Amino acid sequence: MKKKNRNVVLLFSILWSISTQAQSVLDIGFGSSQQDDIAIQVNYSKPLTPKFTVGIQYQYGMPNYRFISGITFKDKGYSTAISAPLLFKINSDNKLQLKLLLKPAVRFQGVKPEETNNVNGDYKTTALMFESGLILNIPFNNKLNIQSGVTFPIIYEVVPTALFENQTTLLHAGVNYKIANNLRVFFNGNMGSSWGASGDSQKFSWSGQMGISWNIKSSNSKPINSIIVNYF
Amino acid sequence: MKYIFIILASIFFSASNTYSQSNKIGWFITPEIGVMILENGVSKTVGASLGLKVWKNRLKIGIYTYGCPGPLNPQTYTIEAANGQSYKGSTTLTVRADQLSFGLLLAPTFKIKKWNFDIPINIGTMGAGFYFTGDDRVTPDGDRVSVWENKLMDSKDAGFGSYLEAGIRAFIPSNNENIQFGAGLHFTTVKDWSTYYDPSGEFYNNKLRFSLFVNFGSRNDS
Repeated sequence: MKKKNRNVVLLFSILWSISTQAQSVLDIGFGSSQQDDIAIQVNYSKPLTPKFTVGIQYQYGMPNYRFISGITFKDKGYSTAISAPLLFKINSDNKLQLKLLLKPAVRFQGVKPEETNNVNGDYKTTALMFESGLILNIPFNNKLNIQSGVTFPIIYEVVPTALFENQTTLLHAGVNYKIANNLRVFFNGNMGSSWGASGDSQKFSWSGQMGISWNIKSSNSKPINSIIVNYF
Repeated sequence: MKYIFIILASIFFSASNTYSQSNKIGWFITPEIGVMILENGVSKTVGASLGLKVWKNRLKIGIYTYGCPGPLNPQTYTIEAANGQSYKGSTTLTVRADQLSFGLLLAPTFKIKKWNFDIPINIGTMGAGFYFTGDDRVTPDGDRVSVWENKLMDSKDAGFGSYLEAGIRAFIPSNNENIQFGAGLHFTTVKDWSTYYDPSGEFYNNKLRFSLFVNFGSRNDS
């Protein structure tokens, strides 16, 4: 656990040093999902050009319903994921902004042997994940910003077995609201049909989350186009 | 599916440039919820269509995917296990239905007064089957539940088939042409899909489906 705490501190330190150089957005949120009773995530994103934003995201979840090698563990163990979301602005029409999301990620999960009825001896897992999709950003007014979109996250377990764990069609809905200069609150939700692992894994996914977005080093708090953060 | 999306995204990139120059190619994203009328009730659906609008917005080309996920549809069905087998002491299996469709979309559009309509025709692959739910997903020997489902349902607990769907969607007039709510009526046919529970393959075949959606997209002013 101490090692995990050190990793979180290290991650924050890196993010903080980067954030001193240019305008960027820091999202801190928590929520619940089909997979996790409670999960927290920290997301840092920075526009490199007017059309391209890069980010890094850390997520830690307390599992509700997850899988190792296609076998369920419930209300036990841990799940953590690190991802690098990339957002490309590909079109604007009136106030509607269309963005392409590409999000590679790696996920680690684990559970104590006595906490699962798994008989094959697999108690830790590593998975590669990739989410692609289209995200819409709709500035409603100076304070309110609405988001929607459709994405297709894929999870592929690589350790201990090579297993196509899950694919989902996720529908997104979200809002963020300016509460102070450079500071917004956000509420996001998503849901969609899932399949994978010969039917052993999720058949439906959902998540809801809320948090704050801090627009770093900007005197003018524009509608935040931060990267939608998901649970897997 | 991943490659189809990447190809589509590439087309989006080039289309967005074309759109900004000539305003002749547009785009749309349409998340939806709905219900499908089945033999023994209704099944809730969730899905989306997305793609490009071409030919001065007279034709939509893209992908259309929707599913009847089991967790949204808790109705269960019972069937005797294959070959006299039993599961947790019972020869009767209690299962739930689950379905997912993914296909290509072609949708001619037309307008009557202020109302926009399209005729979505989608063709693709449907995967669907029947699965254990609740405590039955914890198997007696700790093995994967799909192993038991295969064994007890003669390796036909689920399957893939092809589907063709046609319908009509109406888009409610809106002051903001970028965002429109609407409703659709669809008719689905399924080929070459059958399971142990439903050897006839009629469970999802020749069924009506209703959808409610919100459509985001470029304006139809070209």
